[in-house]
Amino acid sequence: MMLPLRIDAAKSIAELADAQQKVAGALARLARLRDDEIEIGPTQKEEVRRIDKSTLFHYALPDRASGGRPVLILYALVGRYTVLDLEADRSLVRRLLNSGHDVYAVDWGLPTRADRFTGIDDYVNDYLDAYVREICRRHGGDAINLLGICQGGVLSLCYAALHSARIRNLITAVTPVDFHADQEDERVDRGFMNVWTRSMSGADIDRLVDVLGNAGRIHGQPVLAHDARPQHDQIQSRPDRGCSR
Amino acid sequence: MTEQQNSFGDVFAFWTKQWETAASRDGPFALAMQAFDPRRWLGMYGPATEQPFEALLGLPRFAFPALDRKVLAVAAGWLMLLQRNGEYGAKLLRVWSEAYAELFAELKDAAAKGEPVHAGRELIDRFIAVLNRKMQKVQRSEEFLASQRKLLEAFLSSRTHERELIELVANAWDLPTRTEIDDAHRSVHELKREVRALRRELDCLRGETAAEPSASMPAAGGADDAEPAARAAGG
Repeated sequence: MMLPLRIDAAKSIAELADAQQKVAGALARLARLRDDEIEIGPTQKEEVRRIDKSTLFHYALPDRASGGRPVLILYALVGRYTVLDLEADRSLVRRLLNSGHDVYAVDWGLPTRADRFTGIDDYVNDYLDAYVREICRRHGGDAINLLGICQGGVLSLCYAALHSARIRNLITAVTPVDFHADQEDERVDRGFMNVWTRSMSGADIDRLVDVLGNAGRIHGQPVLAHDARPQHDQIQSRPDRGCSR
Repeated sequence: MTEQQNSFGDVFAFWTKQWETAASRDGPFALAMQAFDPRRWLGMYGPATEQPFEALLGLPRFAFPALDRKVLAVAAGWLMLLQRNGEYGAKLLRVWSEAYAELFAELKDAAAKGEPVHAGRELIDRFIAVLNRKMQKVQRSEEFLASQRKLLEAFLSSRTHERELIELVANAWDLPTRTEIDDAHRSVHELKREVRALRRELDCLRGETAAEPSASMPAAGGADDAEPAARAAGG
């Protein structure tokens, strides 16, 4: 019977050498790179408004006048909004600007334990609502285009459901909505987060938040930021708070 | 593997019990356990702390038994966390063992078809594929999820016991505790919400839209919700 392993020593050594060369090359590049050479989010922007740790930014290209249709991009609480504008040629923000839109984005900031009581209601009905109104005021309209990415899509959906008159177009990307879809159509190559979270009771999650404040930390930064308890019953369906007259 | 897990659990259960009852025992074991008694460590602060304060005054011991219980709870929490971590690790280790077994079976079949592995990279790729397949299945299993829940529960219990001990000591020295700081944060959060709500009402009363700049608003909370120009001007 043929042996299951007939390793060609020369080929394996060549593969190993190739891998080591790649690692060495990467380390050499990193060693040459200085902090001031790393430029993330290069598109020019101005701070429009700030509420607590969140900030509304307005982007602009120097050679292009603003004033197009406003688009507010909403990213997740986890991660940074700068992923929207990594480099000049890898920038969703820049592509939207070049296609004639007036682009805004929200930076949720880096929450600490002091923000543990900030809930979805605050994000949707206070921060996001104030920013949408601010953009409407600047552009003289009643509604904006809202682009929600990842968890930002969840917040966008909540906002659109509560304040539909303020939304002209709603776009969501990589937005998790149905956390029980796997129960009808299970595929093992899909993510685990819904399965793992579902296996915890509400009391487990309450306790997790009580103990940690913000759920999960990597290098001191929250991974699952803010009050992680299920808050579907905490988002208040407030009437549109524009002045009625 | 189940037998190994039981042995592992039995060992930790034994140590947990020994630790919890050590204070009431005599002999060399109790003496050895004293090395882990935080009251001994406190000896560095002076002789007064080596005895209960109540004993110096001839009063009944009330506070220190509470400290004893907290310390023992912390120790028991650590042991439980170690046990749960070991059980969780044992489940993952079993997946790795099964992946190795499956890989060898695959390699054997491939060799029988005249397709043996010729390079290290190919071997690693095959192993990763098998391991991923096994992990994706196991990490959705009720057995794994139960182990994960128990590990989380042990971690949270351990942290809770640690905090209770620290807060007991902090209270004795009039130092602020996590619970008190959390209460303060809650109050600040609720006050900020009220300020924002009042601002919106004020905007409406003034006939402005709620999103208009708040530079003309009263100074209270201005730094938290203001346009940059307003804040730059000290608003």
